[in-house]
Amino acid sequence: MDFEEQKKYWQEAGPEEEQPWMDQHLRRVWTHPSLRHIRRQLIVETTAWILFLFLYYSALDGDLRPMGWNLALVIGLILLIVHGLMGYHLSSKPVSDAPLLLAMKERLKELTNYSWVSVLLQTGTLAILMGFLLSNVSGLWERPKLWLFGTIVVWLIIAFGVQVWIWRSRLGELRKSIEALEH
Amino acid sequence: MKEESAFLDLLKSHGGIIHKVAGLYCDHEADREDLRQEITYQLWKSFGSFRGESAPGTWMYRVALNTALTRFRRRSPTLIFRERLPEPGIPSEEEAEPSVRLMAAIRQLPRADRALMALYLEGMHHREIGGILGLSENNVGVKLHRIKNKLKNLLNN
Repeated sequence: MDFEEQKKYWQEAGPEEEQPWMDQHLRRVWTHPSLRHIRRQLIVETTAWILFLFLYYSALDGDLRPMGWNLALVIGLILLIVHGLMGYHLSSKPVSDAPLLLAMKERLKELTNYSWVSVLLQTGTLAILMGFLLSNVSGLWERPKLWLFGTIVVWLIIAFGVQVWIWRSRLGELRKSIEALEH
Repeated sequence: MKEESAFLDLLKSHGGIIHKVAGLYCDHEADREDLRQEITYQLWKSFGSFRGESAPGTWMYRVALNTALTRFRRRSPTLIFRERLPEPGIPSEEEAEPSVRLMAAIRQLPRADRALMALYLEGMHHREIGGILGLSENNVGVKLHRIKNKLKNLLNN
């Protein structure tokens, strides 16, 4: 096979006509498809967490529960909102114009760090929410029911495992490409 | 304003790079359109720091490939019902233009190999390819030899 001929085909390939994205670039930030999707998700999630923060105290009898659990829940929810904003910032960050292998390694490191923050924070907040809901059950903490705590631990492990699996598959392609370039 | 007009001129003269990189990494037109917009967005964000130390095409390839390879977000699959099932793999010589066949064959390669092949087909030297990818000149040569054999097999079968 003649690669010089293939080079010619490749170099000739291009858009047949001017693409709309060329002239629409001025609306780039607000029409950027991935960011638009993430922004919509961020707005929905943040609104839901803020509503929960305002309503949980009366809806879930916050006044009848220990102050420590109330405080932990509020901190957990605020951290979840911050985590959403961090994710948006990470997605909208410009890609590096460093050599590809280096840029990919840096990106993988950033995303791996963020994924651990995300997984631990979400599982931690779920654990706090469960603790909060059980905090005013009389006699539970003095005579713990093993089956109840066992069920909670199993649910937390499942939630943790599912999130780790989701992140692992998200980052799998990037990891594979780095390995392919390195070897 | 001056910067925007310079950027638009660059897009007009080298827009084919964005088109080709999107074609390398996405099977469906809707995904390609998303990736083209994402690459354009990333190019614009990096344009301010582009000092012209490398050729504009080299810089555009670097940013475009970085964008394509480091993004992990994907749109949900779109279900399209066609009257006929599409033929899988690479179209035959009678069915498609050589450039379409070539693109289809490259898309069968692993993601990192596609980047190497694109730069080679663009006519870049091993040293230049190594500079963009962060590999030694020698390593580029070894990898290209292996990838070319794979591509030959794909196009001949």
